[in-house]
Amino acid sequence: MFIPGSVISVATFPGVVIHELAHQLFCRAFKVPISEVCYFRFGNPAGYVSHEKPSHWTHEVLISAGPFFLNTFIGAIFSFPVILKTNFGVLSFADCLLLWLSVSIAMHAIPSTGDAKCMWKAVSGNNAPLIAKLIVSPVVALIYLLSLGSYIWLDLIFGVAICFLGPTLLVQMLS
Amino acid sequence: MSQAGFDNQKQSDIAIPIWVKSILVIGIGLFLSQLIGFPSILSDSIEKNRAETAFANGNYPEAIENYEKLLTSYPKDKNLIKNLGLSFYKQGLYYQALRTFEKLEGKEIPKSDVKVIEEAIENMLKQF
Repeated sequence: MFIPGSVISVATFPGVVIHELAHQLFCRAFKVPISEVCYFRFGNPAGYVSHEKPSHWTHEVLISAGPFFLNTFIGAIFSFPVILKTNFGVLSFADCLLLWLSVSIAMHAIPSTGDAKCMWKAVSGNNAPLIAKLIVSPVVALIYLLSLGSYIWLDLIFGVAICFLGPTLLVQMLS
Repeated sequence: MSQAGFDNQKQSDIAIPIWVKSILVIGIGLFLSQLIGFPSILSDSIEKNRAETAFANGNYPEAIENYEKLLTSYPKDKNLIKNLGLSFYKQGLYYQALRTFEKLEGKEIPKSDVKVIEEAIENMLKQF
């Protein structure tokens, strides 16, 4: 089923907000000045962070990849107490709210193609050594592939998988 | 999305708005409130996992024990009732199996489950 990206962004807006917050926090961590932050808007992209060029290519790559770490982490943590309740179908309104929040945040963990462009720009030309290009190029390719995968709901599948993985593994380990 | 290369408006940082912080605060609040019941739901999930493993391995006495324990906490869980009934059936405890399946009467259950239960009941009735 095709649902426009803007509708998905609205339905999962906390994920977009945390995605942009991740870029902002990584900028802060590397002391990169920020000129503008848009946490959410009706449009494409649904959010953005404008910042100065970082002094080192690793900083640019990590700023672009920031949402992968922060959204995945927050999504996985928030979902932990509620996922196991789905086994018994005893979800309250608060459970459903937390589940929606967790999946929304986790499904926006994948960096956007705009982020991939920034990563590529950071390592292209004489900006970075060959090893940097070798590390970053498969990541950029993967991001583009995952971006195409969003047409088959790969971002949602990723979000749900992140939320279910931890609690499911814990139960398997303790059984 | 991050966009690099804005040199004209130098600003060391931009404060995180309250509404953004409140999303995190709401999330943390919900997370903490749900954490209270987490130990019991974790132990129930472990019990369910053990029951399902025992059922899949043909260890029906252990499956029955675990499903019965779980049903005291979740008496309306149709899946648990179905699996307990099937465990009784596989163990040859037909009377208990029929009594268990009776609890599913009038409840909506998936067609595949209806088929499995009907087959079990048919087989049991043939034995009587």
